[in-house]
Amino acid sequence: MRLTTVWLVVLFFSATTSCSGSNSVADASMEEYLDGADGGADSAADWSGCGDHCAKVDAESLPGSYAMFQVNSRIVNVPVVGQSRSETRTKALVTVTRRDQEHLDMLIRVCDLEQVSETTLVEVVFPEAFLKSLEAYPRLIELRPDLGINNFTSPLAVEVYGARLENPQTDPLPTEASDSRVYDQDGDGKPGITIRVTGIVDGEIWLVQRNSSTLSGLFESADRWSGLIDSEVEQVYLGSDNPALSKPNESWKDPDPSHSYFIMVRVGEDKDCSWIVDNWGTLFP
Amino acid sequence: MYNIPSGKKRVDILTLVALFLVFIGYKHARGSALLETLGDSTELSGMLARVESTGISATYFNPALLSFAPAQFKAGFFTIGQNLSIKLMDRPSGVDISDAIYRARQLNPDGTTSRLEIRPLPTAELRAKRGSYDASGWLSFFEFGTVVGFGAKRPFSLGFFALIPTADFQGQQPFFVDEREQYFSNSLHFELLEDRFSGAVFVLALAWRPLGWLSLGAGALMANSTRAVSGIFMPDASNQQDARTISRVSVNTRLVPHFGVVAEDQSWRVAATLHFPLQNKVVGQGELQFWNYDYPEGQTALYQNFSFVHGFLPWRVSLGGRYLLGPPQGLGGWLSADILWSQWSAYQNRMNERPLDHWSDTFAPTLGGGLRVGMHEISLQAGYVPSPVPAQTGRTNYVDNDRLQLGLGYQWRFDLGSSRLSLGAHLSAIHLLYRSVKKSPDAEHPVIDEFPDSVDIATNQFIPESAGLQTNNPGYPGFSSSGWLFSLGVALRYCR
Repeated sequence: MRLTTVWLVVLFFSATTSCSGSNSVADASMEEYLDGADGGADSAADWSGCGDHCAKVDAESLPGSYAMFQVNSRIVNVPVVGQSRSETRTKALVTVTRRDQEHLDMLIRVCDLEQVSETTLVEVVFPEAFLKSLEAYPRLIELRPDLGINNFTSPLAVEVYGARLENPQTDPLPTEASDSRVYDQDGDGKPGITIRVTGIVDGEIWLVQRNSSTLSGLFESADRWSGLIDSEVEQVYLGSDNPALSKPNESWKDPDPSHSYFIMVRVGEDKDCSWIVDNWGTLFP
Repeated sequence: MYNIPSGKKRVDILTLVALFLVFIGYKHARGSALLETLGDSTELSGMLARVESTGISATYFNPALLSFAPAQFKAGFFTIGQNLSIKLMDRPSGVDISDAIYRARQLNPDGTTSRLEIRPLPTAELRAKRGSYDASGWLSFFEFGTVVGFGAKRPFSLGFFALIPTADFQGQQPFFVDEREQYFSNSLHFELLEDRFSGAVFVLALAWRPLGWLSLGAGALMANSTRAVSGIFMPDASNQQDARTISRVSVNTRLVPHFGVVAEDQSWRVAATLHFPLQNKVVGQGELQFWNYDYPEGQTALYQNFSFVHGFLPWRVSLGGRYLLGPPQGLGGWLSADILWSQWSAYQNRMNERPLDHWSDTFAPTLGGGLRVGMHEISLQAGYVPSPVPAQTGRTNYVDNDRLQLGLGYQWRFDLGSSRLSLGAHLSAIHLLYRSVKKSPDAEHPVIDEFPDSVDIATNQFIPESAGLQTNNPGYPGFSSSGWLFSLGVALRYCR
């Protein structure tokens, strides 16, 4: 008897999120990564930074290179399985420069992506061709002493993968591979970007995706930043070489905001992505 | 050999038919591969039963012989031992499938990649050790039946024959004959032996003797067709050990006919038979339901169809003869010969598939004879059964051998009051002649490269372990087979 496979594709990645080295969905939330007793943010709205416990960080000391670890958590309604939490973990190299008294500029280069789910029936693999196709993208940091000592925010940033939109923030995503706005971002001959799935079901998925996110965080020190990510993801599957992977699963933002967070630690100016990936366990023990 | 006793009492034909119908009711009766291999295992005729049978086995082998068999009840027991050997050649290095296959995409000639078309397991993760299955062992059977004559000159005779295993009433152990068997026994199997021997046989036949020298017979053997539907509901696909399962099974009985004709005078007998093809089919469907699942349009479940065939026997035609030496009583003897044609080219294996490399039809000759001294008789048979299976140099691993068969029978007749009894025994030895085969890349259907040249799903880098041929085909790179079958049977026959 041929057993019908059961699939579980939880496929929402965000280059604005970064990764830990764990292989399972972390029960830990942001607070585990924050220093001191004041690191217990329960929601983005309650984010109040260090309060009176942190020494003020001089903005002049912030520029430099950082390794960035982002976790973006979503709840996915997976057919035949039910609701499942899924994390996209991103490893990135960030270059920070000073724009003016109130702003910093970030240039973020994604080094690696990993998706981890509560279920292990399938694994989502981000091919190197896709990772290499990701260009470094900018992000503005607004220094917000009005929110508390060392606090900052980052306004809405939008990234679109696999399609070129005139208005990236508002244009609907293309739904057909034949749409002229769709392009082969990773150069593999398939429309949009290609993600691969392996496990009890396998195949390629060709898709376009839009990530929209804001950040709110604080400078724990001149060498370490942390905060929360508030993001939305839209995704359209353009095709697959496996009919079982023909449409995305319904998903929504994890209701616990502390499950989506980021941490940055300073690295030497000469460090690159491969160094960050190789030293990940040391940077984020 | 017996002469036809006279003055027999009539047995009600309805009783016999009712007995047959009772066994139809069991709906388990099936194949006769064992009978085709051993012949009559409890009486003199042995492998020449199509020509010589004087007992209930004529019901199956040649129903026309019922006209010449004494009216009787018979019960017997026999056992068969299978001492089978399959030796697998050592696998060369580099043919194992590594676990890199889990992260592989097949590299196409144009440089693109695609999903793997077949899904072998890493060799190290196979559930069963290669060649770990051993089919050797013993099986035992009871047999019983009756022959009843009707009419003043007995123009009609009716026979009933039943063969019932002492263990599994009906055993089926299907297997794949190629690389797909890696998921199961990961071994090779003798295609025409093993589970084909387990199962019951029920046969009913009628003989008509229009002339003193001519008898015509027709019989029917019960086969069955099974339909099984398994309904499965899986509440959580991520926990596949938790499932709600029901199974619906229906078994239908079919009657497979066979015919015989016998012509004889005081010294000569000519016998011919025709047996229709036989197969016991199991067809079915798994109906799989998941929680929160969009089924294909028009479906309320996912359907998984399967089909098995057990105990396939092809068309069989035999022609044989017997010559009596000496007087019909006292000191005498006989010589017999038979040749059996079997249309194995139409073979369907246990998975209801035709062999990729076509099988051949076979002619199997058997010679024999016997000696009678008063109330004692002995017989001897020798036969050769060629294998229909071509050299398995390619993907498939049908294991089958030419067979040399020897049989030795004995019968002692004695009177008990007004009744005549006979005690019979038969011993047979079948040698599976040694056969060896090595796989060849030049075969018409060569061994499949189960891990074709592939790249890593993440890096797109070539996977070195995929270069060249990798296979979990348990028959690769070759194998040899041989063995022995032994049977010993005894039976008591009561004639009125």
